[in-house]
Amino acid sequence: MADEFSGAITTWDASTIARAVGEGVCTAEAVTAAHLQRIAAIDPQVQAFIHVDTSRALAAAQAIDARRARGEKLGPLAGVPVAVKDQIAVAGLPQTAASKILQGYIAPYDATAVALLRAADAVVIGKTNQDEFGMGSSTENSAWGPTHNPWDLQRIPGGSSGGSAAAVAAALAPIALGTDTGGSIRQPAALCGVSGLKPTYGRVSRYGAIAFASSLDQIGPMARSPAELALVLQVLAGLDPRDATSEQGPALASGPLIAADLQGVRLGVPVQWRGVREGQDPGVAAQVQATLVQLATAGAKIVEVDVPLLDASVACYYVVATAEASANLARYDGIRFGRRAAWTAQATVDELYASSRAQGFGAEVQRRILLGTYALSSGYYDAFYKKASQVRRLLTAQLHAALAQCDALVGPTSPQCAWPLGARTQEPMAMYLMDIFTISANLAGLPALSLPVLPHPTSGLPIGLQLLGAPWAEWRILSIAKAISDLQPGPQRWPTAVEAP
Amino acid sequence: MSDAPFSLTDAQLEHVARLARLQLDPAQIPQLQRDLTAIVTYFQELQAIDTEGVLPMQHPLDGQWTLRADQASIGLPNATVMALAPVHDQGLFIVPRVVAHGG
Repeated sequence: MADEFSGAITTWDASTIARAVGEGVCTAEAVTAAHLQRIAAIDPQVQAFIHVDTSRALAAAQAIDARRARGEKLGPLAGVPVAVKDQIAVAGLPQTAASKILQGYIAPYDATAVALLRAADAVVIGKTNQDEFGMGSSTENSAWGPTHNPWDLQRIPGGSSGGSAAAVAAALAPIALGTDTGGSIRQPAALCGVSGLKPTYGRVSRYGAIAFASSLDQIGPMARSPAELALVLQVLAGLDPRDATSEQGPALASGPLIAADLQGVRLGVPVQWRGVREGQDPGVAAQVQATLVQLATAGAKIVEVDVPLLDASVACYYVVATAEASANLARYDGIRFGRRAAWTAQATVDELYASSRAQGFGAEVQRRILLGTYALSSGYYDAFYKKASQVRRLLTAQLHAALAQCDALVGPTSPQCAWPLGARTQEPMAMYLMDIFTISANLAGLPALSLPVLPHPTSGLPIGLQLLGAPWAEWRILSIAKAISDLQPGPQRWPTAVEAP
Repeated sequence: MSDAPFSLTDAQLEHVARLARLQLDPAQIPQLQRDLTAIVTYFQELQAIDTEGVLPMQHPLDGQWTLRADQASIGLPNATVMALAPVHDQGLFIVPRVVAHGG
């Protein structure tokens, strides 16, 4: 007991906070205040948050304390501060998806994921920075400026959920919500040294998340360990009448996550993910290989699997994702949604659409809208969108076949550690290729997570290991992830570029 | 597809921008053309994959939605929604004219 509740409150994980608040060791207000204080001190350097909701967070915490004082039993996330990606609606708070086109929009309702967190007695402390509409891998495509990696402030935190990852890494919040369309939870988690889970498509309601690519988008948790991901997933999972693409799915286990017995675990390494690929940091490949050797020594069976179409996954993904984005973002026209450009009585509505969109969308979003419009346009639809959708089915079948031979596919989450700010902003294609390991989970709707493993041998920057599972197998990959994190210490616990909590 | 290297022409870019309702900044056009050409060239790698007879997969659920009961429910209050509109009058949204002048 004494040990569990020692140290600064901001170092406690979510389950420790929930126990402390539930048992009256400390108040939810004290927990919230401690995190708000750390945000005030540290976030000017990291810039993880777009909006911090100080007064309402404290009021929500006080309400939780009052309920405990009345003898009510509190929820599984009692008093746990949560940071929410700006893509996701929180009633009464700005929701811009880091886009100028949504500047001034205040969400009039909670996303289902947020409502479920509140029902579990979590406290929303603010909205986190991201790439505009989730389009990017570095959080540099934000209308509000980049987030900085807490391990090295001159480097990117990954993206698109870079603010959520940096907030969890820097002890500004123990847990956060992200969205993942092509790796946007897993890759920033990897680059910031935290854990992140993209659930099976349909496991978590997307109601209240701004749509980027509807057949790929998922909401998921980010936290400081696989056990914490499991705790949050238990709160988020389930069918939501407000999202027809949500499903009940096979039940998750109840109670805390228990590590898998590695003796009984089979991990598949796709030959396409093996070794050092073009554009991959050899240090990342080496540490992933070292982790696999450790796992084999501990009794896990490592098998090779062949998934040939993984090599086509980036092209397939960017056709599908941009096509869906061009359709989803058509609604931001200054009339139905989005900030309206100045207009005169002479302007036609078409002119107003075009100028509102040009002024409101950033360069990467405009590029993707143009690409997607091209891929769907008459004369090109069959060659691009239809072709990519056919490749998607073949790739999905290959992934299912590989997963029939093992418990999870394993490999690096990102080919590189966090890179310097600005290094890839002028080369969109180079940025897209950074998503090579993460996007196939979205194309096939599979659950996948990233957990920190051995840091980079020379730079010391965090490296993430990705586990990709069969549909609805979140609990299996989480329990394997817990076994891996129990086996090896991972990176030094707190990021070195900001003051330790 | 021909074997000639792909290049997005001015006319194609203009056409796509019109379809997307995006007013392009003339200063950005050369860079956009280079970027889009490089990306579309990369997309063309998909052409080499044999997909003969494969049903396109547009969604992980393949259309297996779980629909809720078709029952009326209370939406957001009118005033809450109107407060989000830039210009409104007597409960109506004010927008520019849809029919061009002289039409």
